[in-house]
Parts: sequence; C-alpha cells; structure tokens
Amino acid sequence: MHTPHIFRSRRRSLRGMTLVEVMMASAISLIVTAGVMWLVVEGMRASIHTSNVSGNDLDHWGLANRLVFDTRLANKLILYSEFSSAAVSTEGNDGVADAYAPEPVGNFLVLALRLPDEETGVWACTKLTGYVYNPDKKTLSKFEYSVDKESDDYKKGTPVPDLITKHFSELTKLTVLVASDLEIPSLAASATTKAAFYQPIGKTGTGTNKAILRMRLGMTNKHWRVRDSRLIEVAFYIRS
Amino acid sequence: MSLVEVMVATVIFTFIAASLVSLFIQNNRLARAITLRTVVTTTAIGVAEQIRAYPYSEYSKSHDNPSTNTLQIEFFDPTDAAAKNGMRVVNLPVNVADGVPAGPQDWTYVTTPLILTEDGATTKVPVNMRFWIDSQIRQPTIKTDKNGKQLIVTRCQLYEIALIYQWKNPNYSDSKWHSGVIRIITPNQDMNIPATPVSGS
Repeated sequence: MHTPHIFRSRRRSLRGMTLVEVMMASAISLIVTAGVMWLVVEGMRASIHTSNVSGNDLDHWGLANRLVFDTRLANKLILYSEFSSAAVSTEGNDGVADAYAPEPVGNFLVLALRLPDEETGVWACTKLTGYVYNPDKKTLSKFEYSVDKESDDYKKGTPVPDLITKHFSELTKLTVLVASDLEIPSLAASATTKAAFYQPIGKTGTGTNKAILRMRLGMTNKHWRVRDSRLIEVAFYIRS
Repeated sequence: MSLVEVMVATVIFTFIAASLVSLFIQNNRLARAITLRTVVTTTAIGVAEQIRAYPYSEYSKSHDNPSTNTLQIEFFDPTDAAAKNGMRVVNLPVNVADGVPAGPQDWTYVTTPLILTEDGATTKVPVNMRFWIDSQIRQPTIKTDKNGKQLIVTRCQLYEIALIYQWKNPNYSDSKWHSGVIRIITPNQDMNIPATPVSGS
C-alpha cells in the first residue's frame, strides 16, 4: 500500500539535515567567516598603514618647510652638541664646528638674524630661532626669541652664545613641540657621535653655512605591520 | 539551502573576496610608492639646497669645467661604515652647460637606504636614484626693440640649474625610472654688473 504524497512530503520536511550536510555547511560557513575576518583585518591594517604614511609625509614635509623657511630669516647658523647653558658657553660662537671637529654634529641648532643698528652701526642679534632635539623623548622642539631693540642686549650687541646662556630659562619656556617619533639611527661608522644635526666643515676648518637634519621617522608605538618607518634628510643653508 | 545554492554563493563570495584582496594589495603598493616618492623628492630637494649653498664663484668652476670640478653633495647613509658621521659624499658633475653637453655624459647613480625594515634597524630595500644637472648662465642683458626702446632689462647675473632626478621603485616588478625636476637659481650676490650689458641671452 502506498503512502499518500502529502504525508511523504511532510515526513521529508520534518526529517532535518544529515550529519554530512551539517558538517559541510559548518565547514563552508567557517571558511566564509574566516575569509570575511581576514578581509576586515587586512582592510583595517591597510587603512592604518596608509594613515601612518600620510602622517609621516606631513611630518616630513613640515620639518623640511620649517627649516628651510627659518634659514631664510637668519644669517648665522650655529650648531651645539646639546641644549644646555654649559654646552653653549663651552662651545662658543662657532659651536661644535669648532669645538668637536671633525665630528660636527649636535642636537641644538641655532639660527640667528644679526643686523647692524641703523644709528650706532653695532651688529646686534634681533631674532633667535632654535631647534632642540631631545633623544630621551624622541622629539624635536623649537623656540623663537625676539630681542627687544630697547634692551641692553641689542644696544651692546650681545653675542649669540651669551644671549642664549643669559636667557636660557626663558628660552626653555618658549620651546614648543614641532615633531615627535624621531630617532637617531645607529650608524655603521664606528666612533661616530650620534646626533640629529650635522654641519659640514669647510676647507678653512670652520663650519659651513649649511646643515643637515638626519633622522629616522615613525618607529614608536606602532605595530610593525602598520608601521611606516623612513629615513629623513633635510638639507638647508643660510643664504646671506 | 541546497548544496548547489551554497556552492554558487561561495563562488560569488570568492570572486568578491578576490577583488577586495587585489584592492588591498594595490592600496598597499600605492602607499609604499607614495612614501618612496615623498622621501626621494625630499632627498632631491636636499641635494638642490646643497647645490644652492655653493657660493656663485664656486659653482662657476663646476659650470665652466665640469670634468675637473664636481659638486660635492652629502647623503645620509647610516648603513655605510665608510661614511664619516653617517654622511656619504657623492660628486655630482654638471652634465649640460649652456645647452652644450659638458662633463660626463652619464647619470650620477646614488643608492640610498631610505626605506627601513619594520624593526627600523637595517635597510629594507636600497633605493636607486640618479641625477643629471643642466646648467645655464644668465647674464645681465638689455634688449631693445627696433626703435631702440629697452624692452627687457635683466640686471642680475645668475645660473639657472635644472636638477633632474630619477628613482626606481624597488618593490614588486616596477622597473621604470620615475622622474622629477627641481629648478634652482643661483644668483651672483657679489654682482659686479658690467657697465655695458652683455648681449644675448
């Protein structure tokens, strides 16, 4: 005797799925989920990496523009080994170019604008711009200091190193952060001092009118898979 | 769903996923290429700044005798043990002076360790760059029209320098040289303008 069609159909629909079907469906859904997860993770990674690249590009160009622009408003360049009164007073008017030759490198760059006074003819510093690299914090900071034309410093034409040591605490307060995540790379050349700035020595044995900032950008606080690390090199010179 | 339906869905998903993967890879390549272009361009600007730092009289020697007087440019290379203070000296000659081939007629090749490994310790891939310098002197000139009226007065003596730089993307199978040009003016700041302007350009 045959079972009516309507009962057979109902029995089939109530049967559920076989173990093989469930396992195949699970395997397929697992693969699909894994694929989706991979895409999401890779997408995020690519997005974060691109964002880091853009950030580093901006930092890189920003540093280059700042330094080149500031050198245009200066006519004297002095490089000191570090941002301290002791280093400035020891290294004097020529900075490391004189004190530590032939390794003219340092972490404190001074760009000074010195002009003769219209009435007295005394050469006086009217503006100081300083770039300070802090190796512990891995940051580059900057200060700008204008010399008041009524001050004794201007009237007497106080030399740049004396000006810095005299107003050191004030300059420290004026310092603002310019860029972070900057490191000095290890140098393959042995017996070489590591520092952010380099000032070539001229034929006469004194510092030239140009300097180069050499750093490694984009190393800290980022996972290596999204990191954009690069060497940056910014050359600039005093025009007048 | 039947197995056939699931398989069809899987195939469709695979196509979409493959295109997305390709998109990610392209995005990554583009990001690296942009990084490289920025780094290379900034390096070239640094070279231009170093050329511009030369006094006019010093630059003149390289322009007039490019075979014997080259421009000494320093590149940062922390990986080079022979580079004093991490700075490698490269001699750049003037290749074309006043429109005439002069000095070595070949690019000056420089390999720089610009892109680092993820740990930042060593060079990931050396970047190949090359430079070409085209230099032109501009003398103080006064041009007059047919009525004798002065049309153009150039009081400055200067060099117009075109620094052509090229680089190769070291990643993937990109073997093309990519190009860029930076134009520099080196004026004679100790201008000694002749009483009678030099005719010509």
